[in-house]
Amino acid sequence: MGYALLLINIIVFTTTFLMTTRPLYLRSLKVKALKIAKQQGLSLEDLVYSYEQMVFFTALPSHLPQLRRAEEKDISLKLEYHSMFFPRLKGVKVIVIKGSNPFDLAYLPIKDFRLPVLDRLSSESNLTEKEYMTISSYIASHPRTLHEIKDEVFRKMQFEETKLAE
Amino acid sequence: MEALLLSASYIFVAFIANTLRFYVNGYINRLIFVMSTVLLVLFEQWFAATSHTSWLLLFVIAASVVSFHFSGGMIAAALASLYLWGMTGMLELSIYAAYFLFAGSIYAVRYYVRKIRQQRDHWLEILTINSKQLNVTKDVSQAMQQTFNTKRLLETILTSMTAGHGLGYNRAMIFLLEEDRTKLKGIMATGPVRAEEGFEIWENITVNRYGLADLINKKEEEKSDQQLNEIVQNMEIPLEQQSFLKNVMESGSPILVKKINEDDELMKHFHSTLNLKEFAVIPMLHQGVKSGVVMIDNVVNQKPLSMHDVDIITPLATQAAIALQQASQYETIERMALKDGLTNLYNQRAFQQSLSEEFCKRAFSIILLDIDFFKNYNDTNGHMLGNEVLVQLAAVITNSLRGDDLAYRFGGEEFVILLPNTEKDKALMVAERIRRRVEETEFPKGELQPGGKLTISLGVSESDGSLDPFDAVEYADQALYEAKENGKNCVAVKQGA
Repeated sequence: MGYALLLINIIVFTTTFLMTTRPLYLRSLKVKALKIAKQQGLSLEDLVYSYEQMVFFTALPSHLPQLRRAEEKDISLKLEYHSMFFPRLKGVKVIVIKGSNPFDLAYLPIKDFRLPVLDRLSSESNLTEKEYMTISSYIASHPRTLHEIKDEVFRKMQFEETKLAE
Repeated sequence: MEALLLSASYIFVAFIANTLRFYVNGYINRLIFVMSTVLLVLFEQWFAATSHTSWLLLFVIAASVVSFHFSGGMIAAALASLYLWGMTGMLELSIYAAYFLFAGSIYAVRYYVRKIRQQRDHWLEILTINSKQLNVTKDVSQAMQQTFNTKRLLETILTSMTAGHGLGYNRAMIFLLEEDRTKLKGIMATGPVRAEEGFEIWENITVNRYGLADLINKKEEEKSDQQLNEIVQNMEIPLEQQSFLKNVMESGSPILVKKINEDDELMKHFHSTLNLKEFAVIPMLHQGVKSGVVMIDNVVNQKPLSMHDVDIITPLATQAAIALQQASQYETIERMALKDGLTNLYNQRAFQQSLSEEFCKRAFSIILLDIDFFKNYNDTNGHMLGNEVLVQLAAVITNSLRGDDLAYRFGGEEFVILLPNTEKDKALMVAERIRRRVEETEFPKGELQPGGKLTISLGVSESDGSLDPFDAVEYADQALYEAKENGKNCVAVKQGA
């Protein structure tokens, strides 16, 4: 086998590895979160959560043309991870893509994404911090949560008169 | 064919490794990653006609550095050297040296990347903290601009400190310095007494998706945090005795308490009554004037506090001090605008405000009174003594009123009394009581007045809710005139239309 083929195979391995890492990590989060929830007698569907710790990097509603003109479809949510090879969810970044430059609007650190039921279990020593992070990471990365965050951010971007008109 | 098989096996290994490694602990996860690269070496030996093991081992070394840092890289380089030696039977020192050098280089790159990433995370954390602080300060400033009401201001500040949308501390309390500056008095608090209660509040906020503004309004509408408020509002802390609060008030510097000091009786008291374990005390300081302290803790989630938290709270404590000072000045000005400076009774402006449309829809009575022969009194005894008489008379009037009655200085020696929900007969009784008490009171130089004592005349009018309030005043004035005509020192009544 020539050196070229060796290089191609290494690239194939690395690419496959990196491309499947995050989806399979998210998949594992789901499996582990469901398992922990079952052990604790919880229903993940019914867990209430708070993204009130989301930090906005600019005051909303904003007069910046990029934000003022943005529609909900221009809001993009990006999951941020700690490492490329050994991913751990770090937070959810909210970016507004309107015009040429993406605008980093808000950030929700996963350590601040709290769920009251889990807080209670944690305080009673029935849930380890690692288990807490597994469930909160799963819920934060769930498409439904991301959609809700998107709605909430868009709502905050609207001026009062627009809200009233709606 | 063999090349295709090899590529397929590489894809398979990558996929299987990723599928498995997230279900095990961190160490095994890293080991699986390294072992998957080892498998690549083995597959390459099995399937490929021409072996490039010596090159492929570099990949294993790189994976080891990524997984197990410097030591992992060095061990991998040593094992790779041993493996190559065993496989070829030849001692190729230059290759082994290259392995170690490669491991070192990869580690250097990894170290550099890690540093950059840590720096980026650090900046992001600083940015989020500062943005949050800025947002809260902005919200608090806005809320402060909407009111001069001290209670509302304090509620706003405390809610900002405790709400998740705000700074997210579990509990905040405000103690203000009393006017004599000898003790601190518990004024207001937000948060639970026990952790369990905190979880209930927290769940309620989350379910209802309350924002900071909702929580501020909710606090105004409901009497939340009642239990904590009851405890805090009953606390009076003398500053003569040595205590942590005395230290803060004296030094003007905040403190962070990580552990209860058994020698500090006050701290022990806080620990026993409020379950306070780790907390921060921040003085409310503005232009060198200390107005009290803010205390925060995390009784529910037991999140440790640091001096960083103190730095976060300090601007809000300063805002609170400024707001309190402004509110106090506003209240003073408002009081001065509505109260008579001499008698401390309400003035005519306050009387006009009292006669609101809402008030006049209900039945009420008015008593208008003035001092008999007051010109004579002033001419005989001087205006200074005349002022003393007015003050004394105001006290007699105030002491003769019922709970809801309000007395005003109408101007000069004239006073007016507003008696809500009062019919003429009861108003007459009040008027007569005042007249009699004035007659019985010894005023300075009162004996020099005609009749040998200082007296007053009173006019009473009544409204059933349909009368124009200014007509009611006019009727009371006419009644007063009648009382004067009738010989003074008596009460007359004028019935409204």
